[in-house]
Amino acid sequence: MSALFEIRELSKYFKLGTRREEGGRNPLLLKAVDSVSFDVLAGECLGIVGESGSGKSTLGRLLLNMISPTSGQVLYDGQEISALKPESAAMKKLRGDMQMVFQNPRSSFNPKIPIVRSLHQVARLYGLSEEAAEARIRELFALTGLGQDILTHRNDELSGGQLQRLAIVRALIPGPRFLMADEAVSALDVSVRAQILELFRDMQQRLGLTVFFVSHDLSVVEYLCDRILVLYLGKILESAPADELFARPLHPYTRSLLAARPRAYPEEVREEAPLAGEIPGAVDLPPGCRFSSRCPEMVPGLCDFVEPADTEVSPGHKVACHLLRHCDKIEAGGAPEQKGCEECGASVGKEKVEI
Amino acid sequence: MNRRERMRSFFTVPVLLSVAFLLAVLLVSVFAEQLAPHDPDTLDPASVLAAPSAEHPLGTDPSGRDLLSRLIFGARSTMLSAFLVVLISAAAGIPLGMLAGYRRGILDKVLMRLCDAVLSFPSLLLAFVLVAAFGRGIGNVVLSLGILYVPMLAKLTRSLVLVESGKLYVEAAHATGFGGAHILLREILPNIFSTLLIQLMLDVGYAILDLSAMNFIGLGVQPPTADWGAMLQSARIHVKNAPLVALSPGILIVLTVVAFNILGDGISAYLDPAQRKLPSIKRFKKALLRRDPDADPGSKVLPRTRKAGEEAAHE
Repeated sequence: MSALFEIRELSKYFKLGTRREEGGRNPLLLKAVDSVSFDVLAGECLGIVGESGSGKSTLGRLLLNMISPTSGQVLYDGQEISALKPESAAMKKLRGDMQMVFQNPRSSFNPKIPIVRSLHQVARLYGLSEEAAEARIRELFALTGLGQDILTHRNDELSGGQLQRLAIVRALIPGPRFLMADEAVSALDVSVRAQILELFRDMQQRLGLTVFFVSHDLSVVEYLCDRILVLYLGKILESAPADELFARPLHPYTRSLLAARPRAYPEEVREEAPLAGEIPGAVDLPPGCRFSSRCPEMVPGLCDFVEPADTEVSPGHKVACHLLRHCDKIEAGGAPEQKGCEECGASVGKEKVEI
Repeated sequence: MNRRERMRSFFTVPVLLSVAFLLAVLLVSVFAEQLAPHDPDTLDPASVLAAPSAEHPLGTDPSGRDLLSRLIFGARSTMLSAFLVVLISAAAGIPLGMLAGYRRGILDKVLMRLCDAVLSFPSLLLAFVLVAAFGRGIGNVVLSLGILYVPMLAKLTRSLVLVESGKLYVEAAHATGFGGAHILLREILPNIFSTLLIQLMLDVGYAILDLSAMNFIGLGVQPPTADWGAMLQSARIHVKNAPLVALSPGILIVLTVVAFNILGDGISAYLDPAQRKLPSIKRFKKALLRRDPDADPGSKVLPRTRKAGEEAAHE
């Protein structure tokens, strides 16, 4: 598969003000996304998980060039779209290719405009005639399982599930190749959530869409996605094909996220304690590995000093963790032992002296 | 909240009275020629400050002109210039505020500091300065007041646009691929329009007050043109022997301003009925019924609690 999006060393810092420090005033930066690189392959569903504050939504908006990055590039089809101004005419032309579905369907529609009209406005924006718009909306309604009678209702008479379907219809009117879903099922009831997820999968397969699915819910991305990125404080800690990630989570953060999932049989003994504490602010990042302040397996002197580089443990499975550096077991493709790897811990300890 | 409930909360007694009064003033000023019994500018030295009579229903002013006719033509002058003031300020203030709020950046900063500069002076004082620069006359007064009303409106519009810009539907429109013009005019404007309308209603009231002040001082309309503010000025020394002549334009000014304020309140009650409760027609009727002891003898005992209970049952 070829890459639809290539993301190269992408960073987005928000300037919050300036801070007086020794050596003058330094800008106070919130590093929402910090030097992230990955590809979005054509036709795949890429999931991105992380706690709130991890920079998921910012990353999504950078991809669509709704905001300009501080540094780095976003290449769409080989074209560097991050160099275009978000409001520029050239970018507007590309927007039809890449559409977005939001978390809260109700507030993503203008409360003062009937939904029929806003759907028609989108169609007109993309050069469809009145009849063509009518036909396209009818076709998409059939595709998304919406009844035609829904358009006779006022916006506030529609349910969250109906509105989210309508939001998907709106995103599909221009005929996009790429769909970004920003927590698109998080605000929905559990029963409706399943339907909408099913719809996403269906759309992806039928229309050959590439989907970028932002979520904090591991079960949702497990169900839907081919590949998953785990984001923490603006950095990708682990990326792997979905089944691989769930079968063999290697980063301590991924493992704690999986351990924190609700289970069908809660009486089963948890292998790993869910993570304690809150995600630290993205202004004063912990030194070294940014997960070191909460990591149950943190090696003092190493993890809190040196930022780990990505290690590709198997094809497509990258982990940014010191603990995996010299582990033979993992390089041989085996599963890590439960509390990390004893041998690794030892070799890490030795490495610390060298640094 | 459905439309009918909204309508009910709009049509309250004070709002209806205000609407009726304003409609009357509006009609009178449109059909002034047909309604006025006399020419408003014809002098009649024989009957100066005459008492009300069949010939002159409200008497005559210090120059012997028919008071009723002058009030009728004064309504036209007052309403027309007040609407023009608001129109000028809206035509400049709303687009500027929208641009500043949506584009932000340097444009926003420059515009807002300019507005602050204008707002830091007492508005009437600044109006004097502007009129002194442009020259006397009602046209220049209207223009000056129109300019002075721009900053407040621009600031209000900007803050409304700022709030709306942060909402998800605006981001959704951006993500869909709509441009700034569409987002401002077709997405944001419908959402801030009603609040702006309320402000414009209030502004008409303020404009009438300010215009009357300018005309009272003599900077605006020039004699013999009839205008409520100017009439107040010319008759003020006769308030003891001809109170009607001196007070009637003032009373009309007050009533019109109050009516515009209540109308503004009514519109905002229509938009957010939970916030304000002016007595509705229904409650008014109920209150009348309750005052009749035969209709409801029990009401004398516990009128308050009873009323509360009934209200709750109905609402």
